[in-house]
Amino acid sequence: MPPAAPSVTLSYDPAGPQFPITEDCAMPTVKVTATLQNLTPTPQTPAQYQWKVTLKFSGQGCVHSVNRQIVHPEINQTTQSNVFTIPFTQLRGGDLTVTVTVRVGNVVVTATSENLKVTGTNPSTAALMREVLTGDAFKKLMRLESGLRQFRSPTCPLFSADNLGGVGICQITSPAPTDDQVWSWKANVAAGLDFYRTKENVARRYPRNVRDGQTWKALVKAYNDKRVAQSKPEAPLKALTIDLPDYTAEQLERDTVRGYNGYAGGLHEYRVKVDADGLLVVTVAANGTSGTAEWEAVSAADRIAAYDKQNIAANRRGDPNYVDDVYAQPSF
Amino acid sequence: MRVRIALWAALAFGGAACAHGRPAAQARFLYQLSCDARLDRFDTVGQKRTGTYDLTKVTGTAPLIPAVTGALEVCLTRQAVFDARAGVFYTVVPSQAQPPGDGPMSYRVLGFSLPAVALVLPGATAPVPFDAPPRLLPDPSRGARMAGPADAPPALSEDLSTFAAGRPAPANKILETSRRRALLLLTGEAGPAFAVADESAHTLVRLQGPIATTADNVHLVPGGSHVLVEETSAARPRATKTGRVWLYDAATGAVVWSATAPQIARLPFRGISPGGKVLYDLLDEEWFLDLGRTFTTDPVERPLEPEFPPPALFWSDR
Repeated sequence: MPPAAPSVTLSYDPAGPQFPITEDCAMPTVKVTATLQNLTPTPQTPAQYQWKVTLKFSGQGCVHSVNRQIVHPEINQTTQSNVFTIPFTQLRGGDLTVTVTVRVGNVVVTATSENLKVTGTNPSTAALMREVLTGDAFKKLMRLESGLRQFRSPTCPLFSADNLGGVGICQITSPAPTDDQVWSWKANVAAGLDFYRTKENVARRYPRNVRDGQTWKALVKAYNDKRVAQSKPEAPLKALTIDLPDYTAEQLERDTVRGYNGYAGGLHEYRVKVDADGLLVVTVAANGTSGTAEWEAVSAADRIAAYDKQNIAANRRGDPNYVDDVYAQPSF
Repeated sequence: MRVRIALWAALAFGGAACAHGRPAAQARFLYQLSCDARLDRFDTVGQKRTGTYDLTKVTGTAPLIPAVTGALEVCLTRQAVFDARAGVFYTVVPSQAQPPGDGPMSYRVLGFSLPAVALVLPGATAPVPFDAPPRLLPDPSRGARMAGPADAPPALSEDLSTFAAGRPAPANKILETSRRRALLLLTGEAGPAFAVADESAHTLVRLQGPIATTADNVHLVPGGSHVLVEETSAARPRATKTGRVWLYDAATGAVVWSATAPQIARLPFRGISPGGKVLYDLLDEEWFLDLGRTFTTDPVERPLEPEFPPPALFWSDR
């Protein structure tokens, strides 16, 4: 009877085949053991273990992934020990493949494990509360965007249904999410918060932009032209100095939330209030020389009408009800 | 000289070098340029859309029009000026697709040939305050250019002091102009009131009313001989179109024609061609209303474009 052929088998601790990223966004500790059969190293002919590890995400089987490809740098390492803890350098998930090639003298044996996966873990509400130290608006926004999920399933990040490549708890879409933001909910939240603050700056500046713009100046002129023209000769009226106030804190927050979804058509959450003829609505001060204009919220119906007039394609309009939808969510 | 933004830039220059020299038949094709860099071509004789082009895909390997993901926040293609002689239209594009948190935006002028819709002019960029997007002006040497500080600002109201001697000049706001005729909203009136001021003859003709409409549903035809009014059922900002239109003679202020159609209520008005076709269009659905008369090919202009304007239109024989 011929001697049994030498071989090697791989086993894992934990056993797998799925190795979850921790809730705290750390790669799993995967300890691989190569066990030789019918082959015994000696001090003169020690075993040399060459390890090759790949981790790839191809988007297959994940809806709306638009074929997103993410590859962890290939790991190649040689050890004298038959136990190898995979030294991941990046937070990534996907299909994990481990190959070991064992050389004992002139004998070479190899084994490959497939069908292993590094999977994602959604954060608990407690973990989110520790990480997200913001006001309620951003928390509600996160809930609307994703239901507080980074992953649709352990093997699939939550990609946006619009097929624009958005992903994760904050549905980071533009700029395109990085690989970290796909697999780390913390990186995703950080990017979402950065984006939110960027929009907060845009919203804060918006009243000043309007005041500096030509449209505002035209509105003021038309208002004053009418005021002067309608005054009686015995009581002539002069043009008013008209102020447009900055946003209140509530208006700023709501316009920031609007910005998160996008100021489609250049429309913010608020616009300068005008009357039926498109003329400025002004509250005249008691001194009769100045007045204050006001902001009004743009309704969803008016928003849609504006998009129609601007001929904006359906996939470029955002959600006309976005702000109300956000505020309807519970916080955490 | 009054300088206004070209809403209708057909024959801004070129051709017979005369703004109203071409017969309407030479303006058969209507081009509509939307803020998402989409160019639609309509045949006003066949009364259908005959082409749609994505300008973001025709600027070469290094795209000159920024890509957009999600909501369209910035107008990617502002205004259009058409050089009929060269067969090239010009538009203004920003360098980024999101509004800046602070500071200016950079814009450049791009030119595209027709009917190939190929890039012929990648202009240099220039920073412009975001709250004052650039105006595009025809330029005999370069085709088109962005307005600079030396260019006169657009007039927002008509000086009517010499139009009606002995009577107070009514307060007004210019809505549109064409061939030295200005469509005015008379802002001193109790209800919506409109008039056409002829700057050559110094006449002011009120549209006979009362008129159930709002200022953004009143349109001057090319050349300014008539005014098309779309009826609305309620006041702005929740005004809704009823589907009825009236055509007023700008010389008499009287209604000379009217029509009713559901498409008028449902689809946004886009413009009136020199051939007398009114284009109603929304995304992939177009419909033409035939006014049964022709007009000149003079451009129709608006004094002030919003930061995110409705589509720009121009017409061509190609």
